[in-house]
Amino acid sequence: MHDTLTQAPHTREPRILIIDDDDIYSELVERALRKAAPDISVVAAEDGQEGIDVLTGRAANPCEKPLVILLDINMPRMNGFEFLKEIRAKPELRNHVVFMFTTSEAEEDRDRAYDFGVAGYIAKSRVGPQMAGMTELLKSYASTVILPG
Amino acid sequence: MNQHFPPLSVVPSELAPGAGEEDEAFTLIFNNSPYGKIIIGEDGIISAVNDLAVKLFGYEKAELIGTSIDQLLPERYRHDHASKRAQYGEDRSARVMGQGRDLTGLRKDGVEFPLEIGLTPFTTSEGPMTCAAIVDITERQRTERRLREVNAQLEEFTYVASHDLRSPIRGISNLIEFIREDFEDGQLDGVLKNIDRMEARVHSVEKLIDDLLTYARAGNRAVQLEPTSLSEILSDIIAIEDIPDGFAVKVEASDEPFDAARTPLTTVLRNLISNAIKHHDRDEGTVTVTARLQDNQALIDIADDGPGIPENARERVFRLFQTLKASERGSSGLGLAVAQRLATGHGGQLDLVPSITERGTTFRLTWPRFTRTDLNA
Repeated sequence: MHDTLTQAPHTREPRILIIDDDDIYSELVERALRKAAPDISVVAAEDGQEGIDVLTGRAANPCEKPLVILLDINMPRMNGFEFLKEIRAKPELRNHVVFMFTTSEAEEDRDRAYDFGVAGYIAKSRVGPQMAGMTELLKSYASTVILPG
Repeated sequence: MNQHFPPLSVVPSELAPGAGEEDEAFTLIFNNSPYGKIIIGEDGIISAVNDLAVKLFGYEKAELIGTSIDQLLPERYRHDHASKRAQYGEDRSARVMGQGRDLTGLRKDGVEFPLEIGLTPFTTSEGPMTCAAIVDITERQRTERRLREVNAQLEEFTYVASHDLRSPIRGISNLIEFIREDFEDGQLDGVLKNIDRMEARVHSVEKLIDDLLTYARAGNRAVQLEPTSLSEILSDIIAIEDIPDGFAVKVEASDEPFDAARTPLTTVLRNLISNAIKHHDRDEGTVTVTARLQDNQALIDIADDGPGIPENARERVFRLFQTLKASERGSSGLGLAVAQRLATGHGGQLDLVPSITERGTTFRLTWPRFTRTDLNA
């Protein structure tokens, strides 16, 4: 007999982990979600290393199972690519769904991100101040996508 | 031995072979060619060289004529040159030699130089001959290398301009939106804070533009040499540098005088020392500078007992802004990039010394003790 997926989409922690050294972006996402999807909250990390600490419960604001991770590229200590390399190498972290969320529109960065198996590449300049598309995407993820266990 | 031109059966048949006028014309064209020219027989023996070829290889004409072409090649290429010539003998056609390969010539004084060679075969009553036209491409290669460097810098510059400048501006535009939103909602608490955040970003863009200009100018090396010593330069830096309480800069430097491009060397050292202090994670620390002259270089080690640079970040510390948080960007972040650019621009080098201990970072700067004037070419 097959195991069935007992996890309903909405039972996952309704939180987004945003890893960005500029705190304006976590605030931007937070503000947009507050209006469009108030049940989804935001946890912020300043760089890749802090992101890993948050995911592994070693940070003051742990978030071990975020819906998705929004990831910037250029950051001190550990940049976005180094973060991806790190989590993809760890069995307990490798299945996280990551969307790049970056100012870089360089093809090289886009290709490199997809090589790391990210779910999407979002350019900060394209989302617009109201972040409508972004919040819809995050809401849909929360309500319809069955995420890894 | 005399220059021996082959009889002119190469000239079209309507011109009588050996005719005096044609010989003279040939000699004139051959000698005044803008290329070095060497005529060799099937056996690889040189039968004629023009003035430029003689100059390129640093010989006297008489030293080359009647000898093998092989002496103009570096030793390592000689062994299969005869078989290459034989191959060529089977398919004689005008061509550029060694396309896609780097050809190297050997001067009489042992110096090698890059060259390009065009081969033109012709037949005389004395048998098949080949005229090699030779161009010294040292200068071209140097220009190409310089061009590649400049392009790489330009690419980096563009990347910085597009990312690091755009990023605070995008931040400002978001903050404007936050303020608008808060006004509409009557939430005025955060407004002032967000105006401050905007202001910080405006300053950071201004600073960034200043720093980028500094970085761009770091490539212009108008070298002014001054007699100085490493100990003098370092004590000047320490006298001016604002060293916080708890920090010490220990210097052990040679006071042997040498001629140095003092301003850029001082800038590099100051950047390295202030960086070591700025990025220290404790309230107390020591920066140790050891500077000595060795052979034709000044060798300077700048070692700190700070947190060290993680293995995965070591390759990017010299890139623009790589080590900084967005909120700090513009306050600094160009120090190492400028230092490295100044060092290489003046014929020196700046490297991170592989770390053997968990903490601490050591940079090694090498700086030419005798400034190479050819770098200005």
